[in-house]
Amino acid sequence: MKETDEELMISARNGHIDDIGVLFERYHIRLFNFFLKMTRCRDLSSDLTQTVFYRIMKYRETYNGPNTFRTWMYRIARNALTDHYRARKRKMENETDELKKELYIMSDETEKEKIEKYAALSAAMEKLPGKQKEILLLSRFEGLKYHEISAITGDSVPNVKVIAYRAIKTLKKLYFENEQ
Amino acid sequence: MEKNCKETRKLLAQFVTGEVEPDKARQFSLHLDKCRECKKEAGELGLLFDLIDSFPEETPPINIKNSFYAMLDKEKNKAGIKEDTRGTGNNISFILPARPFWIQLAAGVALLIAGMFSGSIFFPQRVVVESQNEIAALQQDIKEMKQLVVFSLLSQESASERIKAVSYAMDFTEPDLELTEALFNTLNYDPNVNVRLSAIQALSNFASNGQIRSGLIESLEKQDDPMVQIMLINILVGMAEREAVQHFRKMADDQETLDIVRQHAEEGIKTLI
Repeated sequence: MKETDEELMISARNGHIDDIGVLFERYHIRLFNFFLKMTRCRDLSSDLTQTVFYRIMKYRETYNGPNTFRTWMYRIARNALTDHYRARKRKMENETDELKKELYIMSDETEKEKIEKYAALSAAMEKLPGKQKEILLLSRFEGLKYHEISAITGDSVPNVKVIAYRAIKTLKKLYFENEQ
Repeated sequence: MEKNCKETRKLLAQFVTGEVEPDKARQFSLHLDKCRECKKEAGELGLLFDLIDSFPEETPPINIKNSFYAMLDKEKNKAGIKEDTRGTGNNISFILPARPFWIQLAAGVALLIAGMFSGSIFFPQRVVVESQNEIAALQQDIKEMKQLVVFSLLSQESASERIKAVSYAMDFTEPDLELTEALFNTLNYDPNVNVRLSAIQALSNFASNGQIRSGLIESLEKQDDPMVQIMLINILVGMAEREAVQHFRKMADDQETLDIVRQHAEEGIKTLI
């Protein structure tokens, strides 16, 4: 049975393109949310998610171990985002805040409190320097290990650790300052 | 800040990904018991981590799936064409690529026909019936053409072409008499093990058909390759085919059967009875 991401990707590389569908089902929501946190724009995040899977499909023959599929996928995701910014040279305005407002109106008190906390966290994330934000997203949000992040961003493992530490320290400061 | 505090703060970074060595984690918790500052720091970080970990996921727009699968289908067609131009002059599948394209083609032609008729306002009822018939006829044509491809590929000298044929056969949802005969012929007499293995896979798609199940059981006696034997056993066990038990018994008792195959047969019996 084909089960792991890597087995599926290798099988896709060898001609069973349908297996990319399984990987899409596994990862498209995560990837969409990753882009959403990076860009705060739903349309753009949806487009970028498509781009990543398009590239996975197009470049499937270049997939090769020993890196995990996730490492490979996030590297493609990162490139897609860089390409986008290079082409546009500006960030898209965000619409997630509008959605959050709607959600907020519909919720009860405890829910409201939670939403406020998430909003504060989002706001704090926004203020992080780009590099710190990216590494924090890949580590804590996406659950990748330091050596995997190193393979994605090209920074050394000790560097990734340092940036992650700075990121979480800054985030904590921003978040609790905001709360008080 | 004490040296221990500095060490502890550094360690906090490791908690971001949870990559903390057990030894260090022990030191860490010992220090927290003694140092109020670090305990507060760790507490806040814990809160933040909880918040991050429970951060709600947003649902992507619905059309993301449709676009993806359209893209996948397109790529599959392209791959089908590419593979064939690399092949050895067997150009028939060039005009007969993978299934989704067929369905798209059929649907496209059907739409065209429906479009042509939709101009006629005088006989709307007849139009619907006619276009339905057209669709059915088209589907039948496609099915027959695909079968032709399967048969022509099955007679190829190259094993990989024959495997391709068998994999085309997997696209059929209902077993057709001629097709299943061809597949059983392949399963029982093809000289190449891999081709025989693919034939088992293709046939197991029609597991609900009693005749095919008995065909697979009968094939047990015709096989001498251990891989084929084991795969047949596994497939029959997966189908919960109790009729196979006595054949498994025979295999398990036969001294000429390889040990590993006999083991599988024994296990199969245990699972089925």
